Parts: sequence; C-alpha cells; structure tokens
Amino acid sequence: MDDSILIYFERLELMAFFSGYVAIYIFLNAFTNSKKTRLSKTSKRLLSLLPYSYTLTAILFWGYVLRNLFPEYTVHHYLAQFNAPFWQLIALASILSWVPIFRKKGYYSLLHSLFFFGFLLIDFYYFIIGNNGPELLQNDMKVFTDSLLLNLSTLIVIVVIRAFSVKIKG
Amino acid sequence: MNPSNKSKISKQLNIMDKLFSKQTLLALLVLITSSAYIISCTKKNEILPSPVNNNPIITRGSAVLLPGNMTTGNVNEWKLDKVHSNVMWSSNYMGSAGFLTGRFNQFGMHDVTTAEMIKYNTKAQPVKDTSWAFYENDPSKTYISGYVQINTSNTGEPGRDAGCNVSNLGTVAIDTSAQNLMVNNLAKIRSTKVEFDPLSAGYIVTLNLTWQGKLGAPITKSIIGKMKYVKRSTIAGTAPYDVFGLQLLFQFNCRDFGVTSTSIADNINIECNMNFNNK
Repeated sequence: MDDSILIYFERLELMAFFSGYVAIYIFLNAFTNSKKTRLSKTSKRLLSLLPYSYTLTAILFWGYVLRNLFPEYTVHHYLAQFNAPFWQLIALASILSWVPIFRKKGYYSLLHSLFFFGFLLIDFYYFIIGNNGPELLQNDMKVFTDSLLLNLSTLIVIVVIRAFSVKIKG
Repeated sequence: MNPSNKSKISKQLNIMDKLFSKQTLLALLVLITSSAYIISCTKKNEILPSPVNNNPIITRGSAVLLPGNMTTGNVNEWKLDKVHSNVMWSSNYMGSAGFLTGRFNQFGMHDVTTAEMIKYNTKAQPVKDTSWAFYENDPSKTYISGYVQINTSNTGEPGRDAGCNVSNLGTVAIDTSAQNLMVNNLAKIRSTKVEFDPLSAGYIVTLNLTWQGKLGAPITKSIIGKMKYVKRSTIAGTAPYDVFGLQLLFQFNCRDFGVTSTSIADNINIECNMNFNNK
C-alpha cells in the first residue's frame, strides 16, 4: 500500500482527537462578552475549564499512542510505527496544555488544535479551487463531528469533576 | 514614537480587533463548517440499505397444459406450433470473440426411442410432439423431452452448414426429402426433475442430454436448465384460440461430445422457444 494513504489515515486520526476543540473554544469565546451576564459568566467558566478538557483529550491520545507502541517503547519503534512522526510529535505535545503557564490563558490549546483544524481548512480550500472532490471533505466532516463529540465529552467530564471537587471542598 | 504614528497603530489594531472579533470568528467557523457539512452531505458512498425482503413475490397460476393425442379441434389438447417455434444455439466464435449463432431447422418434442432412430421419408414432423406435460403449480408432474436434427443447423452460411458443420459435429449431409432421426444425427433432451425457481416465476430443470457428436456412440450428460412459462392467452378472431409458450435455456460443453473444432467455444448456449396452441 502506498504510504500516502497511511499518512492520510493518521491525519484523520489526529483530526479526530483535536480538531473539534477549535469549534468549542470559538463558540464559548463568542459568548463571553454577552450582555446576558449569566450566559457570559457560564461561558467564561467553561472557557477556563477548556484547557483541562484538552489535557484530558491529550491523555486519551497518549494512551492511544502508547497502546500502538506496546510493548516496545523506543524511538526506533516510534518511527517505524507512524508514517507521519512529526505530526504525531506535535499531537503528543498537546499534553503541555496541562502545564500551568500554557493552561492559564488557554491560547496554547487553541493554537495547538488549530494546527489540526487546519487540515480541514486545507481540504476545504482544495475543494473550492477544484483540486479535490467532495470525498475528502466528507471524511473530514465525519471525523470533525467525532472530534466535536469527543471534546464535548471531555469538557463534560471536567465540568462534573469540577462540580464534585467544589462540593467536597464545601 | 510621535503621536500621529501612535494613533495610526491604534487605529490599525482597532480594525484588527473588529476583523477578528469573537463574533466574527464564530461566524467564520459556522460558515466554514456548515458549508463543509453541506458539501460533504452526499449519499454517493453510503452503503445501500438492505432489502426489505430477499424473497421475491412470485405468483403462479394453476394451468395444466397437456398434449393429449394432439387431436385437431380439441381445445384441451395442446399442439406444438413448430412453424412458430425455434431452437437456437450460440457460442463465442474462436472461444473468445462475439457470438456465432444458428438455429436448428428440424426439431420436435418427442422422447425418441432407439427403435424410432431411423430415417423418415416425410417432410412433416416424423414423430408426434407429445412427450411433455406442464403443470404450472406442480413441477413434480411437469416433464419435457425434445430433439434436434444436428445436420439442420442453419447459420445462414450454406457453405458452412453443409460443409464443416457436418464434419465437425460428426453427422451426415442433409437429405431434403427425409427426416433423419438416426443416432449420428440426433441430439435429445429429457427432463429428470423440474423444480420451482426460488428467485423467479420460472423453473429449474434437470435434463439428460444425449448426443453422439464425434464420439463412437451417444453419451448422456446431466445438465441444469431454466424454463420459463409464457402464460396462456387467447388470440381473438373469427375462430379464437389459445396459445402459450415454454422457453428453455441451458448450456453444455461440446468437448464432452468429442467436438474439437476451435471455431466455437467449449460452452454452447441453447435456447428453445416452444409455442403451443389448442387449435
């Protein structure tokens, strides 16, 4: 099999993990200046939790990568296992959103996920100029939807954990 | 930095702020993703839904059609309308090109016995076309038999029909004054089992094909064919009468019968269209 198709599959995998985050971020960010104070407050609170949810997604991705590398965790095996090791490395860097300095403003996670959302934008652009048929976009949107659901789920998990911790602290 | 430059920069920043405001970003996101969703919303690669029912609806009547003694005027006895029937063959020319086709000018629906394998000095049907019975709703009672005179194969090329056709098929030259049912000129079929076709309104017929071909003596091969009943209908007129048809399709391997000619493929397709009336 041609390597390019394997790289394409890996690209879809990465999109499935990270591309949906951009949409959630922009959506919540748009309501932070809302005149309805309650909506604005909720958006701000959720926005502050987003880097944590991104970290959870990153942990899931790390788990996925480690499972693929099992049982040989070496650079050699890493390079042999992945056809786009550079993209994988960027994806693995998502765990840095847990580091307080990157977590505080949330821009890091946004920039990071924008890289993978960019794949969708590129395919969209190539479709507009007529280089691609709708098939690639169809794949992208299916994966993007999955990613939206994944990132929403991680956000919900973080919200629930946060609510519990607030309750416990009393 | 002088004040005019400072105000210029702040103006530019204001424009950038407006351009990339939170609402603009949201609008852009919605625009891009919804367009992409709409574009990708094609059912081209969708897997087709499974059929509601895998069993076709087949309705069969209860027609019972028998030849009897083929008494003229007896509307209950069905006669083979030989003039309006045909037995056709086809085979890929040279085994790989398009179809080479022909028909047999002389054929009938009689189970020719060994004693009947002789030459008949007549131009009419040599034996009665009575070796068949058709029960539309009870295939266990249905049976068919038939024969062709090999040397009457007609491809529309007299040179071939009277020439290589005769030598390649192990038969003898045609005698226009007689009907030749001799063993070296006779290929016959006889059904051994008729069943309903589960996928159509037709029937699956197991046949014995007996032919000498280029061999020293005739051999019999069991083959499977498909039979279709063309429903009985009335032909209006001053003396109305009824007609129906039976179509039989089958294949056989001519190499089984010693035919070595490479002008034809191994597989020979046979199509028999038999029309009957009750005049």
